[in-house]
Amino acid sequence: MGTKDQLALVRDPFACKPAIIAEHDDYVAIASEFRSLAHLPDIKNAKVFEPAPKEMYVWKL
Amino acid sequence: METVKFDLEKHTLREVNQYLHSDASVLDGKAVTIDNPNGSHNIAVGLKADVNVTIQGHAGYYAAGMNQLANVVIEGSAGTGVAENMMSGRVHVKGFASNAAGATANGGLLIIDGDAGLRCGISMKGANIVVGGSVGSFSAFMAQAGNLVILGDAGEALGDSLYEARIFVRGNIQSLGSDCEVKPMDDTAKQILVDLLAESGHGDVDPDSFTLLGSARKLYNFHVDNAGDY
Repeated sequence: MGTKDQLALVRDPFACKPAIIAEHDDYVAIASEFRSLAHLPDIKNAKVFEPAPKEMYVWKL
Repeated sequence: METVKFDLEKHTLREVNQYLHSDASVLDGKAVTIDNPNGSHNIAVGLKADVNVTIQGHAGYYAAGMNQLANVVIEGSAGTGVAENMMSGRVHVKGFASNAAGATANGGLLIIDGDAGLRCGISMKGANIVVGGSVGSFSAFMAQAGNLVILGDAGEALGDSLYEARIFVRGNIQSLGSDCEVKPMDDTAKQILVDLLAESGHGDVDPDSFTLLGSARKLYNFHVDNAGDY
């Protein structure tokens, strides 16, 4: 879910739905698999991880 | 050792996998590196030779599935179903693994340095899996044989409807599944744990810090009182 200056993500209770996050100094990207993130700029230096179940992630500008 | 290099930005996945399916006489003892995997699916599946494969980045779904004999190292993370249905050999994921890692694996060793997702080792049939981090819910569901070692925590319903696989957990367990119970750590189990820790680079971890789980064997035969647990 995104607004003008915030981005939020909650994964299902069992982490059943595919989800992966790339956190970089310049961006945050969310996709269902790494394949969709692989061509982002400087992705090699991004922190890539799967969100935990039921946990809320919020990024602010 | 002769090294053969592939780059998935220059070669197609089919070219790489077809080379990896060459005769064992061509591959035995060779080292193959795969650059820029970029999350491609099915990298190095169905290998049947004693070959060393290094995937230099993040792999997609089913990496090293159905592996036999080969030694596959994934320098990044792995998507769903890494080393699923492995028969023998060794698969080492240096990052995290997504869901169903090592599902239905009959043999071999799967090492995951980071966390593993949902259903790690589901229906495993003889493989050994060592997870350096934590595992998600429903791990080792209906696991029939083999050993799952978890250095971190476990999610919900660990070992649900377990058969004769062993589960070793060092951290917290959110909940045990039906028919999974704590067992006394006998000498055989402890030796298996010590060997697996040494083989997976965790030789410094104290084996006495683990809890052993196994099947209570109450669901093996139908009993009407257990109807809610099936």
